[in-house]
Amino acid sequence: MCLGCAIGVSILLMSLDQKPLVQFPRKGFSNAFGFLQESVSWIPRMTKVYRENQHLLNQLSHTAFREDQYQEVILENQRLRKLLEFKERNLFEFIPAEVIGRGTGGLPGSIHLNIGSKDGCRKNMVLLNDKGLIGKIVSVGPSTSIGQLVTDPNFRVSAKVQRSRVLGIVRWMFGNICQLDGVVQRSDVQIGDLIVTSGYSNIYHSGIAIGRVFEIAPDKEGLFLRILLRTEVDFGKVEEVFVLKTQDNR
Amino acid sequence: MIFFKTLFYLIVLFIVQSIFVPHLAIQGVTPDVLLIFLVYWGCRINRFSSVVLGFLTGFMQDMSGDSVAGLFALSKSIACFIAASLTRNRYELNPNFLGFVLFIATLSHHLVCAFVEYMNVSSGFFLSVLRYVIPSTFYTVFIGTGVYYLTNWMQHHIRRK
Repeated sequence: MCLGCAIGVSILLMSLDQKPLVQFPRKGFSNAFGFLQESVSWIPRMTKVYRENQHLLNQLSHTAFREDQYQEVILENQRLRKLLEFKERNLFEFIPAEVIGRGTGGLPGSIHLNIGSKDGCRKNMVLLNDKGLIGKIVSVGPSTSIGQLVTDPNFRVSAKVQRSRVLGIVRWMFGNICQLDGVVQRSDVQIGDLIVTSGYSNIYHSGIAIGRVFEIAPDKEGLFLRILLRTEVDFGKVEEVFVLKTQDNR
Repeated sequence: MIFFKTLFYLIVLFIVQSIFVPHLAIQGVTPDVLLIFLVYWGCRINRFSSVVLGFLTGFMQDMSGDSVAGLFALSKSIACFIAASLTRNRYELNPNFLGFVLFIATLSHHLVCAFVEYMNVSSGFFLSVLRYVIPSTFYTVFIGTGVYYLTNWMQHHIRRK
């Protein structure tokens, strides 16, 4: 009887998943939980911070020297651009964020970040790091937010082969393996090709790296290719991410 | 009083699960400390309370994450129901038996989660069972049984003193 009630309420909740009736308390809960997470997330970071500090001190001395050289190059670049009358490139702005927690569910599909609407973070902004695409923001609170990872079973992104511009849709399989769906046979795809976002989306810009192809085989039906790619991002160990700040979420 | 005590444990374990447990991940597979606690606690209370506890814990998880709302409430309720049913009328709960109960409860929990999550993904369910459900179940049982042995040993130690 009790289990029946619990199952009934759970199924009701599932059917109301995207409705404000569920989304409103969810936002409140995740904000409160995010606050708790943020206040203790420094504990496991202590040893890492010490090691990083040592490493960064070493790097700093090298970087200071390089900085001077870069300044020279930048000035030179500006002079040359002026001479050629090139327009300034519209560079993207990134918001750095730290992962303060992960989804408590078993499937590794989401991360909690220490930035929120106060920092300029908005829903559907893209998450990435130096190795490529990580996911997107799905929920934003005042000072924390939740990101959906590529490893979420429901995550899909339109992608293309960088070399041959062949289009497909990327979805996660397991670990750091994804599959490029919807590529017809005889398409120009080779092992080692880099798969990037296609840009045919309201969310993802074109050219964000997703992974490299390591296996190509015809699928069971024989119409499409089964293309597997390996992401360079280790989703289980992501600790810092960048949120791609855009004016129109794109 | 026991309600607040349980709530306190759950909040602490929530934080442990989201912040500390990911550091124990092996190939992305993590143990579920909330389930370890729920089985341990659920075996000591009646079936009704156990299901309510499981439902509320799952509900908290649903509300704090971005998974399908109600998914963890459902899976945790079922897991707690199974755990409470298996341990009904048993007064002696040794760690081995608790480990077995945890295995059944965790397996059912993960199977429900994987089934709902991969419902619209062709062949995703079976793949997730192989890649995620089974490893995660064994990992949870391994950690859980260790915890049960430790608590059992501590209880005996305290009683002797």
